[in-house]
Amino acid sequence: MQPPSRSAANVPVTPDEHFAYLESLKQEPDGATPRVPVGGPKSESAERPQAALKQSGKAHARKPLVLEPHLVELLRGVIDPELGIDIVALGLLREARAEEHTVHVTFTVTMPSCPMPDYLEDEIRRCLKGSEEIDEVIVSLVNEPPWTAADMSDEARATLGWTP
Amino acid sequence: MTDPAPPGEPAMPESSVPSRFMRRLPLLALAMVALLAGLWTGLQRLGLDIPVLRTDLAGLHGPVFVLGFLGTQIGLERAVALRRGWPFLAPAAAGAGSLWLIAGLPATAGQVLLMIGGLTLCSVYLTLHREAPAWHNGVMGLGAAAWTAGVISWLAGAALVQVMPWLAAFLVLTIVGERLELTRMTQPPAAARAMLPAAVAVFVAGLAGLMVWPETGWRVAGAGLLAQALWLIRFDVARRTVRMHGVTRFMAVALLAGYTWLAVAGVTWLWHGEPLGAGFTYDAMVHTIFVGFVFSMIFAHAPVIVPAVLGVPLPFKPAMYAPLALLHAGLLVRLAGDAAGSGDAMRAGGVVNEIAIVAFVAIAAACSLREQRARRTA
Repeated sequence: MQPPSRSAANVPVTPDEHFAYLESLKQEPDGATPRVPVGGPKSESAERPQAALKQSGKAHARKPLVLEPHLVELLRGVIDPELGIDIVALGLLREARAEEHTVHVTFTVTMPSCPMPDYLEDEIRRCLKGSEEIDEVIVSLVNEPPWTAADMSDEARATLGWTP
Repeated sequence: MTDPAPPGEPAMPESSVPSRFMRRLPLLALAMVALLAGLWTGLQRLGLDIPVLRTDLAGLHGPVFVLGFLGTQIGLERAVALRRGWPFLAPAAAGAGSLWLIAGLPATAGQVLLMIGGLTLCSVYLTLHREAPAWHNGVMGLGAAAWTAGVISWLAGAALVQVMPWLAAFLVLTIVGERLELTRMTQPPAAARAMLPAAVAVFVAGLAGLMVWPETGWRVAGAGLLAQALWLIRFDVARRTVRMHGVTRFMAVALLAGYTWLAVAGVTWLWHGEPLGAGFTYDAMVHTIFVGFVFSMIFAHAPVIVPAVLGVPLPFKPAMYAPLALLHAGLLVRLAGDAAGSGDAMRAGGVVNEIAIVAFVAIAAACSLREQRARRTA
């Protein structure tokens, strides 16, 4: 797979795109993962999420998502223990953006009856606080729009036995 | 507690996270008192020569375990999910009612408190269903209704043998509802998706029949239990996650073992029908569900629910397999004793069951404390 260019048209927005993007970074010749400094200029996805969404062609994307790649990579450490799948692949992550040294994360749960929000909130903080560039993490839970199975990545669906 | 915050606003201030444990400590304490009382009265009922605190306490074994310990725990889980104040009335009333009964105070007031807990949990599910209509809310709501119906029949003077199916239904329907919710992630075939609500309907029809035709009601409910168990064994996500590693595999193993015991329970209910008093058959019909199915679920979900509800870490350790294995081995011995009419084997198995529960709590507490120390040091 060819690494995507960094144009606005290819800025990763949905979880699936993030996986492809992160995989492409691993294949760069120097092997280094470029890291957007927290507090630096906003990423293109943060500035132009709607434009990126339109060009992504994903029908199930219902609102602009701001998912900064370096934060998404850190948040892949937040795992649903029962499923063994991270919250990015499960489509629970709604927003991850940095302002200076403060990170804002918005996530959802599969249903309002799920008792996991506090656990996920703690895990999100634990994963992000490991980064020296992050001073503060502000975590929000949203129930709208509700989670659906379409929010899961192809990788997660395959793990859970979905047939293509 | 607050409603889910709009985007950009913190769902919970960071500074309040460490105090979550302290805020929920009173409810945890009530649940732990009920657990200890349930274990102690369990030993009494097994006929062990242990100090008897009160002669009538042994009769409270089932209600204290199911409503005092598990009712408080399940009510707390739902209250945490809703992030509002009023749902905490369910675990508070369940825990307080149980403590009231354990203390030997007038039973009616304790039973009314337990009924309030059940009614509040019904309201919780109604609220959840209004906000996000789904089958699984209905199934779990039926579980809460079974809790309430069981306590009302107890208040009306029914013997605990007659109340027991309702208490079992509370736990079975709550757990089945939770598993039904997870099927949104696994895409079972359309026919299979319809089969689980049908199995639940058979179980509920059997429960309703208990009031008019007890013999038939037990058997129909048993068929419903068996159908639910077979569905879970075939279609639950645990069939896939058991191939993973670490805590995910541990949870799947415990879940599948629990489903197997639920199937055994279904067979015993279907085969035997109404139990005549609390003998060997009753022991098997009850403990395949409460020990084999329910405690296996508790062991499975502890590494998730303890951090989620109490805000303390509980990392998985392979040592947790030991009490899980002990729990199921003990139940095998116990059921062999029930089948052979051997009181000694039944007692030995029952004691091993209790040792497994205590060992799991001890291992979990040690793992959690060690992890908390490690995080403080880091």
